[in-house]
Amino acid sequence: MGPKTLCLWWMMLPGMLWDSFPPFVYTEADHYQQCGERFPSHASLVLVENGQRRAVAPELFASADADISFDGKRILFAGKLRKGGPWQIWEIPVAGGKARAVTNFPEDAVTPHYLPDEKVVYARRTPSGFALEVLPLAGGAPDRLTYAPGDFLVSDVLADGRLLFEGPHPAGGRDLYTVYSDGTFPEAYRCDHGRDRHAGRQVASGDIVFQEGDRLARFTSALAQEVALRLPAARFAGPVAEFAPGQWLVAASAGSGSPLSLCRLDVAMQCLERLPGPNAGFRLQPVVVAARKPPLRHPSALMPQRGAGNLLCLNTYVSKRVFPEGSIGAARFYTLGEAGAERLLGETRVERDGSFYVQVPPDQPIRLEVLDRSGRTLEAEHGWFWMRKGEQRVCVGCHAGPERAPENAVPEVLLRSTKPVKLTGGK
Amino acid sequence: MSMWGVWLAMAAAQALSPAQYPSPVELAVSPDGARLYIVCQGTDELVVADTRANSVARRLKVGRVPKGIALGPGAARVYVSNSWDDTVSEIDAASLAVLRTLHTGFEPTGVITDRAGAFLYTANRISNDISVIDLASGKEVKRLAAGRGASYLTLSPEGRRVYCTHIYPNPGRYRTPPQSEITEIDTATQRVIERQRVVNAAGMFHAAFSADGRLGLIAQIRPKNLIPLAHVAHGWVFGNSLAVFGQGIDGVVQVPIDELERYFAMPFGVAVDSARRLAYVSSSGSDVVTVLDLNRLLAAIGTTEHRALANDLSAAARYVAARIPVGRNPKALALSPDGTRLYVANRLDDNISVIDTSSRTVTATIGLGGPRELTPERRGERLFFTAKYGFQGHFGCASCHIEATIDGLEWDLEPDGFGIDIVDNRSLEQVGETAPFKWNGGNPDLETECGPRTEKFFYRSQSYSPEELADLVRYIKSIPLRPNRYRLPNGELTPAQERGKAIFERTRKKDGTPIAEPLQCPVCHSGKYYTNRQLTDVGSGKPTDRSPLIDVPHLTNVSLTAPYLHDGSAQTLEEIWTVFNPRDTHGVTNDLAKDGLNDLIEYLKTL
Repeated sequence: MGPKTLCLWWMMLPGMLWDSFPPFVYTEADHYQQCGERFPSHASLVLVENGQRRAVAPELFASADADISFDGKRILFAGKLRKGGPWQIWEIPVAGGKARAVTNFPEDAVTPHYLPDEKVVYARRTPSGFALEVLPLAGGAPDRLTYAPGDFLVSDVLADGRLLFEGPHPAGGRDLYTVYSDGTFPEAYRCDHGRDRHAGRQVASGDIVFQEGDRLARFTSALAQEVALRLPAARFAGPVAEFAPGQWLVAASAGSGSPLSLCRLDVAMQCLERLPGPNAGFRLQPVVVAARKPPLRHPSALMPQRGAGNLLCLNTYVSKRVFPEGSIGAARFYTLGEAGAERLLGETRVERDGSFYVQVPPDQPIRLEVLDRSGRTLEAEHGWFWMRKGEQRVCVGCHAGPERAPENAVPEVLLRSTKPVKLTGGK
Repeated sequence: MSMWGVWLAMAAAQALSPAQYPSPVELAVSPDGARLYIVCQGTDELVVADTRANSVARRLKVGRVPKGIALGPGAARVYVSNSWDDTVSEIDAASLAVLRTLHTGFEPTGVITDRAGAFLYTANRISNDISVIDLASGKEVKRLAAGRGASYLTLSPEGRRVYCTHIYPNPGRYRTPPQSEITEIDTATQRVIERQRVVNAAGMFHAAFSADGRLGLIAQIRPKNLIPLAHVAHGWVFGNSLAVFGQGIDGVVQVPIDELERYFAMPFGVAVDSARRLAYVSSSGSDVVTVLDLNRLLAAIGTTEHRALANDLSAAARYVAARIPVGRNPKALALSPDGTRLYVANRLDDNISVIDTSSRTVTATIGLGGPRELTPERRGERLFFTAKYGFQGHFGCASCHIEATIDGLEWDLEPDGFGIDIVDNRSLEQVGETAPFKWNGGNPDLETECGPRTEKFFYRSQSYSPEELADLVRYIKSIPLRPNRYRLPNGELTPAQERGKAIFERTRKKDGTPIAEPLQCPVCHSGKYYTNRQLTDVGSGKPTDRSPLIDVPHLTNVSLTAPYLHDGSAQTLEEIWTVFNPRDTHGVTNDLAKDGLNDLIEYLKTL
């Protein structure tokens, strides 16, 4: 008899087993959808401790997206003060009390997470979609981190200090990306690009567990591709909350039409047990209430006085696309104008070894194409990236994948000149 | 109580001086598996552990800073290299009495005997050569030229070859990929028969062979010193890896042991099981022993383009079988003869991990004594040798400052821009009193140099607390100064050194013309450490330097710290003057002939 047959799939967890759970917070909603307004009607955060439930912020019309402070004493969340109002970022003690508004924007702000040094990161609605911002908890001016079109939502803050976020993938659907907390070095977490990845969360092993379609999958440090998780048949919705190694709380349902319930998932045993609760409505976004080790602080090396961003590509030929040796002649860069139309920034020569070095305008979308020696497009990147003011970025190649470490050689372009080709569009 | 027991009790009662930590670095197991010999470089000891009891049985004083061990034929003799004494202690294994002290080249590290016990070889780190000692006479009969930083020796299983690996790359053309060397010696003739160049390997450490001799593995690091250090992720600064060679393998193939987000820094020790099924590698900066499946490793080598393999952070998943956490700063590895136990020398924990190779877990720890309290210097030493502060555990101080020295490389650090202000890696011996720091003198003290600067531009990750930083600086200031081999014991100078001193201190050219004071050597290279700690333009600036002003470096053991000049463009001391001083801006040297420069170098070697 295998472990799977022992599983109490979809059985109610006996109430006495609450003792094995730490306190946790989750979102309870009448309706939930993955895109657009995720909670089109009411949603509220619920704290569960020893089987007892308590609304976290009953004075708010809606609350969701909980994160717990590193000392385990505060809850950061997105909340609406009243129906029809914008989502804002709020904070409240775990022990109870009055919620404090962290933001007061006219636009929505959602998916907040604590950062080291008493800062928070969240996603704020802009004309081009949700963008990530960092704000001191004590207040001040927010620092916008993302500058590409589309909705970017915070998924997690990784132990190494990078922000994990979900955003649009050029081929459709969403994917998981990382960026440092100063907005530098955005990149896809992996370049195998799944169907529709989102709601990622890092577990104690360091793996990233995320939702892909209706399933859960993971990234692990050793592999350049996602790893499927062998789980009982169910519809899953991330993120997961790990309360012991290999023991997760996760939202799941028996089928695509059913509402989501919170379940305990024993990953090794592939055992899914539904937690007691009402049958109607959606229960999701669990997060364990406990002190935890803060992620590492990212020491920003930005030098804003430098103005633009400098981008050095070591070898354009290092790519998932195969370019014959000597075939690449130039790289062409675009940005997006205010009206959303593409605007050419310029071209730069690509050296024989595939290297180029350019300066691009900061804090705006950048896209590049690789051209052959007659100026025809060999490959056009469909995704947008950005560079921060004063950022110095180096890439191994062109869409090389995070598994590719650089070859140790002086790029020919730096032997020609240590000054970047200015592609700042006349600015 | 037996005599053995009495001796054990006495050994246990023997008090070590307060700041002496055993710091085990090298291991050897007796053929019957009953004894584990442990070289403790911190206490100048050979420690013998009883492997059945997993406890220390005996301790024996050897020479200063022992760094290597070999067992002679039948394990009747034990040889320990004493790196600061330039000797090898020949020890009778039964009585543990030192029988002879054999003289070697400078800083003997690795030591090995041939199968017959006729010749003993030592890899001499700072004389860059290999001593061949006739064990019958106890005399050095040959000195074989090796590569730079000759350090570790391994005898091939059939006994026909000795392989020497080097912790520094050989001198090479400026801003070209570093090359380390594997020097191969024929034991029948005691001659070098091959020098394998390993491109883009800078530090190569222990080697091990499979029992059939068909496969060789060397722990090594692949630096990325030629590209701007603008970030750390994706293996940007080092590739912690293995060099693999042998039958059916074309040349030397470099394979990573890192992953995409986890690094296994500063690989050092290697062991291969007798069945050629598994290999073990210690990562001394990550406190881990990695277990590799050799069949899968060979399959990866056979099916992947080798340059791509060397830079593929997902490759290790194809051949890494396990990662075993061990103690701090794991150095040498030794397998028991039956292969059931793997011993790991945890240098900065002063103990030995005993790994059960079937369960792949640490089942026992052999403590080696030493002070229970950690001094600030010892705490700082732990910080210096760990990689945990680098982003994702990628590298640490000791990745570049190998064994607290240098790496022989020049680096393109990012804060200045790309391809700008290339810098040579400076020596840390006596560096503490030579503020300011950096080649542009930009950091007023070591706290700034090692704290915010390192965190922001090297580690790219949160690093030391203020208390840790204070400990680290204490350690750096305490890095022991290795003995200068070029000074005569009586303190006098040789005639050549005297002539060189006169050149160093001269105020007039050979034709009697006065030398302007700023161009007299002792003006800038003044004081106890031969630096006036000022910024000076000596005309060595390059078009890619932002400023021609260079912090005057100290000259402690300067002959060991090549390459030279602020950017490492001079491969030798002589090139400083013959290539980079055409207008006599870096002292007046163009009136000197070759013999004059030779004399000057002879004097500089004594500093």
